[in-house]
Amino acid sequence: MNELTSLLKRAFEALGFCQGDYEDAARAIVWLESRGMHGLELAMRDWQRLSKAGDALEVTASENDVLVLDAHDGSVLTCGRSVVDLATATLEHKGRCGMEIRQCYSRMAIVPSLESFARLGASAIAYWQDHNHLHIVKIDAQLTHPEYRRMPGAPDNTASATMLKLVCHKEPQEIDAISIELAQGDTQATPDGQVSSAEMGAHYQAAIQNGLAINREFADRLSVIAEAVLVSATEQSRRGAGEAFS
Amino acid sequence: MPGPRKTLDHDRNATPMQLRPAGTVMDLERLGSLHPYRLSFMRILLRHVMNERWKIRCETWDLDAEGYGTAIYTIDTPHGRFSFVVFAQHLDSARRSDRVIADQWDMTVTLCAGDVDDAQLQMLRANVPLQEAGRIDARSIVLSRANKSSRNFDYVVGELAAGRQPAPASVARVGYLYRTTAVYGSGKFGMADWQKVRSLYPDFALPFAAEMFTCYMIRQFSLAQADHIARARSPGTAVKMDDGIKRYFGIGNATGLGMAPFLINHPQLIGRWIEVRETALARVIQFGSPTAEKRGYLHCLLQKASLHLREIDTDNELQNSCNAAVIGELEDILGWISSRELFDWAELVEHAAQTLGPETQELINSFLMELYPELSDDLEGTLCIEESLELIPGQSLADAKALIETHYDWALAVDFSEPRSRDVFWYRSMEKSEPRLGRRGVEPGEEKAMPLAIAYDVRQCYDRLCDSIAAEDCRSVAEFAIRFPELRSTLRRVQSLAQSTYGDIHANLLDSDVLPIHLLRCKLSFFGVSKFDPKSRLWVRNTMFQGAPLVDDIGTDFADDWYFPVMPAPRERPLN
Repeated sequence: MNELTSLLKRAFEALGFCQGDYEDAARAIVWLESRGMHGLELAMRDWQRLSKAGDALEVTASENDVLVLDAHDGSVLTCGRSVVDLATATLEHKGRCGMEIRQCYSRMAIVPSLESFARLGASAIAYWQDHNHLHIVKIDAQLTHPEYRRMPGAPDNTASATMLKLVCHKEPQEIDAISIELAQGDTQATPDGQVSSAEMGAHYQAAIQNGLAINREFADRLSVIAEAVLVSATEQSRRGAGEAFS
Repeated sequence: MPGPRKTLDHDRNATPMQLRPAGTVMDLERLGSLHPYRLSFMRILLRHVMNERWKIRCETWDLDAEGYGTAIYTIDTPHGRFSFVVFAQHLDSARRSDRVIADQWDMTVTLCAGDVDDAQLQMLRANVPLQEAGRIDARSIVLSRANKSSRNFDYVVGELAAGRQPAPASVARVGYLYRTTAVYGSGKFGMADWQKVRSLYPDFALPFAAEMFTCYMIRQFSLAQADHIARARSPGTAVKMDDGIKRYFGIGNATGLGMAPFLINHPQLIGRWIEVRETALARVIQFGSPTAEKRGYLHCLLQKASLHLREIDTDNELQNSCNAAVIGELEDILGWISSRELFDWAELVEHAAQTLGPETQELINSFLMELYPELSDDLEGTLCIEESLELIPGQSLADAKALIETHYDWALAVDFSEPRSRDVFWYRSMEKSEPRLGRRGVEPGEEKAMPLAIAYDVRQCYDRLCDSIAAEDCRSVAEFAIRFPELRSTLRRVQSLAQSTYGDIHANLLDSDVLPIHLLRCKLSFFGVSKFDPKSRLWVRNTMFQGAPLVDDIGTDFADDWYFPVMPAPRERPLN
């Protein structure tokens, strides 16, 4: 896991991400991968888009007590941590926070940051829609891992396909109510994919024990990309850094 | 500068510990003056090995007459079984290099959990000798390699083959048969991550315990290999090396800039190690009583240190002067101690701070802690820390600014408009990603600089905070971090370290005169190495485990006094 984190950091650094962003992006991918949430698949799928740096995250409005942010077609891998930090600041001030992050992708990357709310004794829920599904991630106070559900269903509109919603609250029943409401959107639907908090924990323990299986082709690709942070060696640079001797 | 926050002893004792302030302790030159002490990792490890009586057996010894081949040791600890696997091969002198960019070595090794079966051995044989170019799996915990000190090795084998013991004075000149050049752990190249080691292998759950044990076993093998080759060369006349001389051999180490980024990238861990040391020292000063017995013991230790330093052979003029200065100051302090009735150790520490250089001060501090194991050894379990640099998002900009003014006054004092203050940059070389220093405007690579410029980054963050406060454009740190994402990493570092006792190392690593060797010595002192032999301002040779008990000593009485070893007396007649 450490090795993969280092490699990802260097690769993101090579793409031009700033230090905070590449650190957070690398950790998010490894977190997801080690919890059985396919972080590497996410990175591979979105790599081309990640290579194009966009405009920074922007707070655009506050509508009905919901903060609206525009990620300007940015990845949640890089802005997810900032989103959660802002939500935390609001949570501490008001006891709750609702957010709508528009124009973003790699939305699963919000999941690793949700444990911040749990540590503060709050509950949180994040949800988003893609072509075929509604994805819901919920974490309860003091838990280490969230739970994930994937419900069949198409997005309401185009904007929903690139939107992420996040709600955190000191009162757990408020989050439970949202979770129930989302599930009852279609009374016929049952999740066609889910990972419980306990399962995420078990995946993590297995990753600690056995390490992570890394797609070698992707790892090699990352290594090549990461080489861009390296500097060609010269005789001048070798001098004084250490002599050869017997 | 305000004193430290909640210390390790805060809840433990009614009397709060008076730790030395960060302004003193975190000064780079001070950190580069640290000496090993009883909570250095090698010392902790060997106390466990000896007191718990680990069973270390050589199960496979498949070496030819020249000492090339495979050896496997099994190690039974209180909590598990491990295997130490060695591949020794012939290496042409012309190919022998201690640089991290080398690709062949005299010896390559790995420490594994459990027994090694044939299939695993085959995999290890194919990959361990390749080191960074190979790939092992999560059953391996440490990967390392070592090269012969060929002049010394040939001399020792020659003497043993001829029926003679190597002369201690000759051993003293180098002090080891082999030198390690890299010791890898923490999940590199497919190995077990630190999280696995820490949770599943309690015997190696302290920082760098597995790495230190690997070096100890390299030493063990090197001594056995020398005996083996001598015996194979001259079965009729060869003798085994005397145990007293064996103990005087350590393992050499060459440490360069590769180690330096660790101290910057793990500030909470480094800060914890320093806090532990300072806590142990503070306990001794506050609770230790300078009885006649303790003063006598300190006297012996200081004399031993003086002799140890006299025996160091280095061609680095600066280090020789430094050692000579310490020897002189030790004489002064011995006289001072003898000339008065000491009421408490604070008197000695205060006198040392007023009159002696930092190296001698820290040597005295190390030895004070030796006098009272009961005041320091329980701190061993606090050396680990879960590292996490987290933003405090709800903090006001004014409070964040005040944090920097309080904890980073040393960084704000640097005039970055002065060219010398930003004269160098750190970068990673194409050659095995080895960290190197470059001169700004002279060498290429500045645009790829590593993020080690903490003082400069803090300055940038501070100036931007001031601007935002004046403009009233951000209500909280969270909003500030969204507006200026390039400063988020620095801001969370500042906020997180403000909650620690010691925070960041006080050094501008971009300065023209920066001495990275101080960073290396700091970390090496926590490892427990001795006999620092700087080869430049960028790298240093040193010796590990010199004087340490041998594997054959396990099960015998253990005095835990092997540090600062001195040359054994030569035998009056050769052994048969």
